[in-house]
Amino acid sequence: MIQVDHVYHDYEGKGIYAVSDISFTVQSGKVFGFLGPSGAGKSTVQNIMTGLLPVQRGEVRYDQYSVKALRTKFFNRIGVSFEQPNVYARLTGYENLKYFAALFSAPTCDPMELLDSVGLREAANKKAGEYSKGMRQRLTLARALLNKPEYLFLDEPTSGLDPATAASVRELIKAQRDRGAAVFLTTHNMELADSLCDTVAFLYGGKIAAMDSPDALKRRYGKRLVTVAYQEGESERVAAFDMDHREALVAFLAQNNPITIHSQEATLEEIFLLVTGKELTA
Amino acid sequence: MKSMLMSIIREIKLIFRDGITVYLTISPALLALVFILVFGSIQESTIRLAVDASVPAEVIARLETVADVEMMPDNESLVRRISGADSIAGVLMRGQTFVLLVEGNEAQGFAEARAQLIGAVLSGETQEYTAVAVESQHSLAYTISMACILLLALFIGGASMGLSGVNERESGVLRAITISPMTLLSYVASKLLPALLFGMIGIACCVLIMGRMDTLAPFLLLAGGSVFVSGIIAFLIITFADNQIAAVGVLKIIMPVFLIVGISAVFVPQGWSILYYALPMYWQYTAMDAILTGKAALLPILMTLGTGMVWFALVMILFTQKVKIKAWR
Repeated sequence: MIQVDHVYHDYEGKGIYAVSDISFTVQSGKVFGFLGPSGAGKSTVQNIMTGLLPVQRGEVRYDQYSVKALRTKFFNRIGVSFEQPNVYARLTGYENLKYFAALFSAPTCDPMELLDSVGLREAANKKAGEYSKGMRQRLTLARALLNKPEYLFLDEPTSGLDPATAASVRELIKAQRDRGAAVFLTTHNMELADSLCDTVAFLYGGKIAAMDSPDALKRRYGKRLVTVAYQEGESERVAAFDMDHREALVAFLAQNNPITIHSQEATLEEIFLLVTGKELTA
Repeated sequence: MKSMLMSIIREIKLIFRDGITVYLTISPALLALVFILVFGSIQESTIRLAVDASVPAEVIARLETVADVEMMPDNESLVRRISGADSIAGVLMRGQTFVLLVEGNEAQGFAEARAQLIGAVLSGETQEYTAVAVESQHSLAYTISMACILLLALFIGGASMGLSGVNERESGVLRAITISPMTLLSYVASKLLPALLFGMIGIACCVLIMGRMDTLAPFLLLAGGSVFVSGIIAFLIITFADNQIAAVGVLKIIMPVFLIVGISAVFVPQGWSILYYALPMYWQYTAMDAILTGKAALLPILMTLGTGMVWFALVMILFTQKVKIKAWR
């Protein structure tokens, strides 16, 4: 479990906080989504959590151990996949993983198996500099999984990937969650967050604007309506029904010929707009 | 230990997969080849003479006791042979007088020594001789040129590791290393050990090409003593350059500093030398000068190591602050 308590960060020491009063918990075996536009402070929080930035105010704990007191061995337990694929361009995919595997003093996965799991087995002996952006992104993800991390940080893991590869990456993340890893997912991809996250937090202007499970947020901010498209003569019409008055819906369905029926819960994107007044763009 | 070994292997792979770094690594050896073209190899220290048919057989026999003698069929061939690219003098007879024919571009000391020796042999005074040191090979120009190439060989090891580190910084790999179990000490060692290895290989190649194998052992010791100087070079580049273009800029500044500062001590008054004592580059050059002239070099080598360590520690403080890497964890 990762616990973040009232964390602030001021880059220049002038009282202007890049992030302020950030608190949340990432449970083991759960995916926590950190959503926000560019510049919202997502990377700042992740860097504080991974020790790349110092904790100026507040506290970050890994199973009760403060991030300030973490020693070298702790880094055997975390995996980080960065948004910008950062690999050795003049080493092959396999050499990259083999090198990083050697840095761990804990058991690691077989590099070739990992490359296989991210669809890079065929390109294992090709230099990473010759990979496409999506391939390097997958290599970075594979590197983050080398040490079977207990705490997994993923920054835009599906950015630049085609739909099929993005779907396989999504399955990979689910597999990490299912084996008990605490997954911290930073993204502005609402579909990904919706399909993977147990909890999401909307970060805007360095502060958490809303935080809950995707379903709870949808219920809280969405409209409890059902729309029914139906045929009337030659034309197609749409009728809306309040979900709290089901009798009217049932009566309508009995008397008409419905084509489609849709509930009108809000999407995470709409909720973000509602909560922050801004669109969630990269 | 395993991570350090893998890091060294990785550095070697990266160097040999980058054309510019490969060229950098072999450049001191190329310069050493130019050096022997300019100064000649010390291994070619025997006197070589060409004679024509005018010289009597018993005189040729006497000349063969002190020199390698080549027979030329006539005077024209003799003159053509002497005008060739190598260093050879000619002997012929005009009437009853011996003539020593030279190209005219030999170092003064060498020409005089050779003339005296040949004169003595031809007059029948003596056939015994001792080797005379050739002036140009212990001249200041000779020592400084050789030292420059050897300093470059040591510089390149550090510079190559610096460029490799800049690449890690630019690509973000350094961030990935920072959040791995690799400690700062291991990272530093992963740069210093290959720099030391390349420095040693570079200096050994140069010494071999320049025909000074007699100085190999002390020069390898100096390469070992210069390990922190290589570290200063590497980490100065990584600290002040976050991309390859900036790295070239930093190289342009530090390369003359590391090659010239030590040598410049030769040109300042003796009393001012004390100003150089804190600089490892000064001790590097002093050690090289001592090795080349056959003096004791252990003290300057140890001073190179000691002063290098102090400056390296200061550079590491800058490095850890600039790249936000934790010194201890």
